Amino acid sequence: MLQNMSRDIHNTRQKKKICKGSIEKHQRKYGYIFALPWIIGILLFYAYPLLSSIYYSFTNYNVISKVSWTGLENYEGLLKDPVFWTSITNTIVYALMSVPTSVLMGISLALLLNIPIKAQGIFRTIFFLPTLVPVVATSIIWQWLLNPQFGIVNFVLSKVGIAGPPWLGSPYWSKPSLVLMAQWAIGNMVIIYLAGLQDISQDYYEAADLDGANWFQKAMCITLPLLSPVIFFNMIMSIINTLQVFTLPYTLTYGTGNPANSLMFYSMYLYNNAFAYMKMGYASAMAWILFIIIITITLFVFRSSTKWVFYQDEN
Amino acid sequence: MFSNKLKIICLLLTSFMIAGTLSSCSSSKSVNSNNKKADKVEISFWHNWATGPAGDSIKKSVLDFNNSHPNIVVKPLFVATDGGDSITSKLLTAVAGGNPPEVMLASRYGVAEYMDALTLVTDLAKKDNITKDMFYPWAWDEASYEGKLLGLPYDGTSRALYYNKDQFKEVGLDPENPPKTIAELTDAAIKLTKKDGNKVTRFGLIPWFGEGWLYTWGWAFGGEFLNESTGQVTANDPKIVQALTWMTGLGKQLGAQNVSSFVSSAGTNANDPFISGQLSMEITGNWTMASIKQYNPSLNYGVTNIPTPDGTNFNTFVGGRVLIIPKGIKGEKLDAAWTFIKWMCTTKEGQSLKKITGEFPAMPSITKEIYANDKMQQKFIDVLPNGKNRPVILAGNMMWDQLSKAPDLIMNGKGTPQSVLDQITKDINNEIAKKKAQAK
Repeated sequence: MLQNMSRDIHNTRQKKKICKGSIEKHQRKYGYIFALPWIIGILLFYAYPLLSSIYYSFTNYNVISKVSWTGLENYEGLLKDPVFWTSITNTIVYALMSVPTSVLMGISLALLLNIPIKAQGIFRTIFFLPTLVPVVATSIIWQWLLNPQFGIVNFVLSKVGIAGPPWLGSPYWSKPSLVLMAQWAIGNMVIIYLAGLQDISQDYYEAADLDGANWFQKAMCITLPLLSPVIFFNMIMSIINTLQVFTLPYTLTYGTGNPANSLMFYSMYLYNNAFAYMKMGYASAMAWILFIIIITITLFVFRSSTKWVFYQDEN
Repeated sequence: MFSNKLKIICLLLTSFMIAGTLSSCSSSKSVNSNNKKADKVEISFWHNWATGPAGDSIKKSVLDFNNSHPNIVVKPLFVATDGGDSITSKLLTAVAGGNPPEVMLASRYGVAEYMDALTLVTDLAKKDNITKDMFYPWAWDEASYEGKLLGLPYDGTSRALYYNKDQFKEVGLDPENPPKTIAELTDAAIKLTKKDGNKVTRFGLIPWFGEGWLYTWGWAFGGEFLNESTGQVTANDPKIVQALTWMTGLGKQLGAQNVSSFVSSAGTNANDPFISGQLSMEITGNWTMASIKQYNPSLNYGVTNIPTPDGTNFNTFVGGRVLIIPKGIKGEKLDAAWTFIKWMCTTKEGQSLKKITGEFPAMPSITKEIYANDKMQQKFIDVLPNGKNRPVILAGNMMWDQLSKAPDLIMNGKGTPQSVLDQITKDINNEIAKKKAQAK
């Protein structure tokens, strides 16, 4: 009797397992079916072109002509191409100028916009508005503002007694001009910093007040460390975006990178090769080299993040 | 669990989504082939002239053609450009996807680079007795590559030196006797430039502004960019080096820093510094006359041919368009497309419509006829038979980009005219050789 009971219980347990198993399988099947459109989409429109471009980077693909395998010729050609090296240098120099500037300005602006004053909402809106301006409009506006002869910026500077630099007309001032234009539209980053600032508990500040800390000490010892995950995120996004900068310099210089190739960035050269010079294979090789560069830098930053990023839920 | 209403709503939504996805897929058979009217052949015509006189000329051309050819219906379709003047990448995508338009209006320059996407018309032209001597030499040459005709040339644009007569009088130059030689031009440019301390308030001439490309001046100085017999690019032809030296020399004399910065944010049309009086002389095309009429009709200006070193043998840089038939068009669509481009490019009716845009037909006889009474255009037309077209090579766009950047590089101290042009010649010839090798 006891044996039968235990056998029954064992069988029921088995049946339950089987029943549970088939329900899960059943639900899983539907899960896959519902995810199928997205999976097809990502395979067709993302994975397939991605993998094709690896293949095409080893050929002389130009969309319409017969495709023939050229091996490493594109990559070798790139290494010997002076414009390629110019574009890499320009892009890295620009990133080195732009990322620290935007991080510093973003944090400072966010700290200022976090001060509880009456017009806080208005100020936040004002500083966010420039991000809504389309890039082409931004480039036209700034072209005129920074015009060395007739622009407002040099006019105002001359009133203060400073001879304004030639901005976009000089190869040395063109990248700083671009950095300036990019800072005008950091509203996006500021919003994210503001969100991060709200996360910092007031308890810390109250404790600091009790200890008699001034605003600088509070900023350095409380705000920045607790904000570091957000800073980390923004830094990575900023690095990835500035290394791929395209629209602003392209519309400013009509794709030429003038003056003197100082604004010839990597993505611009890639675009010209792909669509103007009909060298899609060459451009695909450029794209994958850029991928490797960005991945390397990103991994490096991730590695270094363990030293300075402080997550609140860790102890 | 689900109520009946909810089930029906979900079903409807799903069917809409599926229908939407399916309808956005295009079939390789063009929609036109489902046309039930067996007697009318529909062909699509891609162009990038939407508005203004250019758009009007397209509308009128299509209307006139459709009326005079009752068994063909041309459907014009405006296609936005992807930077500059070309809709090439859209054409390539369409050809690769198997549903290209039957006819496309394209810039003649650079067609050779995508000739694999075209149906060549060499045999069609031969069959219909369309020959080189019907057109201006540049029209036929720029539309041909190695003996193959890539399309029929449609029109041409011409350039000259515009000068501000009032400002000429102001500095003591004779407004009715504009510069003919380079020396006179240099002299005038220096006299006309006004400085206010360190800032320049008015430039006499900025050689590379407007249409003052290295091509323009290279040809004015008597140089050639391509050795026809060897197919080698000769951007470092001594006369072209001379032209570039003159261009950058004058630029430096007027203040190099200022010149680059002036150019990089000056605009066209309403912002054109010639129209606003901040530039006394400008090399630009015949289309600027319409802009001047619109934006500053009181401007007292004159037009003269582009000066040459010795004051004779004037020529000009000629651009323009061609009508092409993409690859993959066959049968009665091909016949209809060929009829259309023949009408546009070789008949009086088709070519006369260039009067609407103020540009020049590719056929000399018609140009002379429609502009017989237009004094202003005469300077442009006189020099057309001697017009020069850019070399038709497999690296055309690259050559254009590099030559356009040459003055800028030299002004910023990145080389001498000789070294820069030597490098460009080497690079472009290498590129052409590479492309030829890969095409085999």
